[in-house]
Amino acid sequence: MQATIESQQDGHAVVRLAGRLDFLSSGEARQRFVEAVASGQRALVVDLGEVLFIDSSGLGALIGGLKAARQAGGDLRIARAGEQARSVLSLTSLDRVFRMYDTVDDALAAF
Amino acid sequence: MRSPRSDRGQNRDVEPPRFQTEPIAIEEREIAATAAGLDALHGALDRLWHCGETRTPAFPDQRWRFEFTTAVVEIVANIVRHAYPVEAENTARTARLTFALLADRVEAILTDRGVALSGDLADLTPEPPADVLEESGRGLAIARSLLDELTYERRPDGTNRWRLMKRFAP
Repeated sequence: MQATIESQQDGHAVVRLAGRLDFLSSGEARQRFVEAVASGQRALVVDLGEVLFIDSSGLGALIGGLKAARQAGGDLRIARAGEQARSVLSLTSLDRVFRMYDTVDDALAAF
Repeated sequence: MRSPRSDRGQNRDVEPPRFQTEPIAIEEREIAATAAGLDALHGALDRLWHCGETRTPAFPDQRWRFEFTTAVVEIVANIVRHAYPVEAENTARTARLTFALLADRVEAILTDRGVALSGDLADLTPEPPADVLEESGRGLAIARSLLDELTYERRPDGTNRWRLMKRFAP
């Protein structure tokens, strides 16, 4: 998995993930979310467009990031979730917890 | 002369996975909890899907394949996380994967030489976590809900054997 963080103004940031967000990579992803929030970026958009596969550990990383962002008064939102990601988010009812958007721009504009 | 019962028992213990009908295709991999290991897992399933497309009529769509793959990864995650001692390196957290394509279903047999599952499988997957913001504890419940059958067996030869089965048609 690769993760790049693109800082924007007013505490917004886009976290672009690529590859598999699974039990091997979820710890690193969670750490990136939490570090971004700690450095003042509390409005996170996680771009899942290049994520090929996500498992329950990957969902756990997203939840960890969401909790960190909310505790700082912000939020973590999901953009460009693919079919497999949507399927596991729906199966776990987490599609009702995360706000999901078709594009990164839509997600940023909604903050 | 018939072989003594104990011999038959031993032979049965070391038998490779068997399937109710002859598989159309089998993919086997020995993997560790590493990126290369997971590449092998996904690669083996991709090969099985290719066989399914070319050798069975009406092979299920991408969503169905994602569901089976997700279930397999959740069980592998459980094995590598819970069957080995805390201090074990990821390279020592291994599992043997056998994927079989049959006429109306796909099966996976996942075997490891780690410690036995603590507790009964049914008790371990009652419901997803009550707190929707809980960060862990969903894996087995996800796997079960995506499969037609999920069983776990501690075998006399000291291995753990998981069997996952999903039919093409519900």
